[in-house]
Amino acid sequence: MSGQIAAKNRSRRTAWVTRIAIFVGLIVVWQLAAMSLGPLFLPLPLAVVKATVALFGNGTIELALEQSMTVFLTAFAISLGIGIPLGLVMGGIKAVGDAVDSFINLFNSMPRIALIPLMVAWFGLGVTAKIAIVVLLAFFPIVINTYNGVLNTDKDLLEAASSFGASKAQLFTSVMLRAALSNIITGIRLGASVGILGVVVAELFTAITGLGGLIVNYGNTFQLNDYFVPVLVLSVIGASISEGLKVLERKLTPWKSFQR
Amino acid sequence: MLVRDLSKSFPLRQGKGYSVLNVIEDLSMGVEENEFVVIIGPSGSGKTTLLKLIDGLIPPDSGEILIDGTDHPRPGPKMGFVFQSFRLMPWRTVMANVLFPLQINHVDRQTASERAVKYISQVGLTGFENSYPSELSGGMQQRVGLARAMALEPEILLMDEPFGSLDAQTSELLQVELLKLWQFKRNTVIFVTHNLDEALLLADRIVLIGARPSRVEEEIKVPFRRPRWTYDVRSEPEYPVLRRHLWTRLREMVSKSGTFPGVKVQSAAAEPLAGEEWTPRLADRR
Repeated sequence: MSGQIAAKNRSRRTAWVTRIAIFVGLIVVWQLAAMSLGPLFLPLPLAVVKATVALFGNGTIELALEQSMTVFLTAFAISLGIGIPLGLVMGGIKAVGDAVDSFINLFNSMPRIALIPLMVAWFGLGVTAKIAIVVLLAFFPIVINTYNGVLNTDKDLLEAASSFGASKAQLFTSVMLRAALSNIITGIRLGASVGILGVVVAELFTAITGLGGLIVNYGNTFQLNDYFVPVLVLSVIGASISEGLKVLERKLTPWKSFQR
Repeated sequence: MLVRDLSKSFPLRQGKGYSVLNVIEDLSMGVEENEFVVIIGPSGSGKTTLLKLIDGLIPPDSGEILIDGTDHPRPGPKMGFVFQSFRLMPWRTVMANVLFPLQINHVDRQTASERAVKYISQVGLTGFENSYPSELSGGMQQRVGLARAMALEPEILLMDEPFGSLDAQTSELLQVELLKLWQFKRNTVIFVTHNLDEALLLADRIVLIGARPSRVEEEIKVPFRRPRWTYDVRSEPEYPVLRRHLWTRLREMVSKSGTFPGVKVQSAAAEPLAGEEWTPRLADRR
């Protein structure tokens, strides 16, 4: 057992060393590329660091971050609040699932970015329109993964639970929900990452605000040092949400860490 | 328990349409209280289907199943099911898996945890209460399956080839442990297998059912005295006679139905008895 733990620690250490090596490598490549292309096309890493300090110092990023996160968190909460229950009901009641599934697939395969002008027509250019656009993107992966998670519950386990006298409701709460947990979290993670994308797109197409707004403004005026700051901030947010959910999944599904 | 004229068929997809596959037809059999009955038959006969019908997991097309005089069994605490593929909840620990049927049936917490602890210890898993099934070997997982079914303290224990997916050594060990557990706490056991040695070691009575559509072909009392783990049942004089008889009957059924490649018999049994030619049908195609 202690040997196994040591081996695990060793492999974790190797992963971190590799991670840092790749990071350093990327910075070096960036530095070299920036030196050969010139600052008009690609700013030096150090210049971006300086811009980051400056933009955080004068509150520009904080304001934009607040605007973007308000949109993202509201829209994400709405997507989760509707998406997860809907997916569960669809998985739990076959008739509902069969009926609604076709429509979900229809909307999901539609290029939903194309609906942005419609959202603008309905909701204007303000926060509401932005929230609507993000919901439009984040909602579907959440419903679909929740639904599939419930649907793909091991039939043998359901039969075993039935053999002990489990009612339909008990099958749902004590087997299907638990079996679907991993898929639900995957859905949340996918929803979050397209949600971040949605925020930027929404801020480009409606009233220009937030981090997306900064990206347009700096990009259009060739202030590339500053331009990279909101880009990096968004990447960090996206990666943090994704990693956070991975940690949550490991906490909620402890049996998986033992599976061979 | 009494099964009378039971029939069950399933739709069988055939091209665009369906045909009907008669799995069980007019099957009748009785099981005494606290009797250990082993059902044996060629693979593909309705052994598993029969257990599911008895448990009430699926309804019969016709016929009736009487348990304590009541008709139409429903799944519940009166019966405990042990499956070939274990079917433990991967997200539940050993303890929580054994507790599961008790929680489903609203057994109060105190009693439930006492029983879980008791049966976990009876199957020799004390110390593993907080392990997940994925951390356990196949044999240990099936011990959990056994404890889970027994914790309900069912009147009838239904066992569907419970040791069929374990290696020979583990399965022999578990057979003996099952015998010991059953000796302590007698209940009715209906045990499905296609392993002749397993049947002869465990059963009070062996019910031989035929290939599809299955019905009872023969019932054989197993005369060996109990407890059987205290001596070598195989060296009893009747043992080879009974075994040979069962083996011949099974072979007849398989070659008559012609649908199944062969009866799975443990390696020692695959040796033909003197003077007999045994050609597995799979070999014909090579």
